[in-house]
Amino acid sequence: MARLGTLERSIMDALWRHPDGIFAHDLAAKLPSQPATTTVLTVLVRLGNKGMVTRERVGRAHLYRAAVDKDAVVAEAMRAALDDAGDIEGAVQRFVGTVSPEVAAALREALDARESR
Amino acid sequence: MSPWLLSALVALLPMSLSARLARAEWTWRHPRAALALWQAVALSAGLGAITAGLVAAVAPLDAVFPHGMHTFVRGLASGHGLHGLGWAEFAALAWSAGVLVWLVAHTLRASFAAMAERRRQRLLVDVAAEHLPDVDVYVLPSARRLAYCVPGAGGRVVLSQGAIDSLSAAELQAVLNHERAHAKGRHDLVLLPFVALSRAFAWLPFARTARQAVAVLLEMIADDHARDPIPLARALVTMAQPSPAGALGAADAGVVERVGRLVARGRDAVWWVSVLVYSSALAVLSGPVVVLVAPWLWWDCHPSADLLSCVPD
Repeated sequence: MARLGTLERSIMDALWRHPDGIFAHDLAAKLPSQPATTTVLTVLVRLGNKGMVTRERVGRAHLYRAAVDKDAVVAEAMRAALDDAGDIEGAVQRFVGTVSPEVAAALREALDARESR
Repeated sequence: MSPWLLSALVALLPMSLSARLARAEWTWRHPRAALALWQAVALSAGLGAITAGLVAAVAPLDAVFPHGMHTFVRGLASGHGLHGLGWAEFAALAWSAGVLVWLVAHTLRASFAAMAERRRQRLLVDVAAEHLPDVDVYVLPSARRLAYCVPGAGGRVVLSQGAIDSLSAAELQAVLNHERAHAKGRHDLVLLPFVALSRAFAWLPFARTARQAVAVLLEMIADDHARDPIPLARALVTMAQPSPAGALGAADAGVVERVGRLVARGRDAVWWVSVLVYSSALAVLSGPVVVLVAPWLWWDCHPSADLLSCVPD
């Protein structure tokens, strides 16, 4: 499970480094863990099903590209945890929401007062 | 009104105390007991609403609910169907079935929605965050301060780079302990029925209040896993401040209360309060449970005998 996640990440990283697209066997060769091309293809198909990867037939092989850029993925991951919607769904458990600057200042004061006691 | 119907309906009454329960300060000292009380109030309200319909539906068959229920089930089993039920009884029965189906449907819907959302979230974290295997934390490259956990099997604790940069080592450890407590305690499963309830009965103030209050109590329960409360309180204040990158997060009602109880050592439970609260939870639940269980216990012949051959009194 953890290894598959690592592979997904390194494949997406490689795709982000090659915005013009890359063939699966070239991609496999570039990965430090040296996975088999078939393994890479399996992950690519799965990532494609999840809307992360697109492909285009070039000659007899497929040229793979990232369907979303990394900033968008990070933004979506952050949004799910920051949004009110994510909170209402209860899908993730975030550490804390935000308070107004005034409340934050008051809380900090209370903390400092306790420290100096 | 029969005592059976009354005890089913009384189960709905504790809901009216929800606003007061949500504000009560003793719940901060006894978050676990308070959580049990919320669960009992919600469960007894659900059971009470369903049971009241059943009791009303079989009331014309027999004044004593278990006997009426037996007669009703026997009628169903012998193929008479709903014969002999007036329109009012039929409506009562439909109410019970409706409430049950509505609740189950919303619980399933909320579970599937959460599962789909988490699957997506895990994928996003896997491809965009850096995994630190020695502490098993995923780090998102963002300046916004954020910490959360994706609960469930293969759960992940996620920190943003902004959070790591603005917290000390002790504060980070406190945040991690907090998030791991959520994951380990499966707080998502505790919250799920209340999410479903707030969806199923969005117009009911109790449903919204309970959803909100239970979420805050779960945060406090997770807060109590920190060894030293002060770094945790500092982390809470730092993380709750609107980020320099822009305030996107929702206002959080629980922050002030959480910091307050961490700073003021307001976490020491009083044993008799706990006993009182757990007993209240049991008492609240007992009414509808007794009514629901009675038809199964109150047999007029040996329980192993054929259902159809049992004759009331």
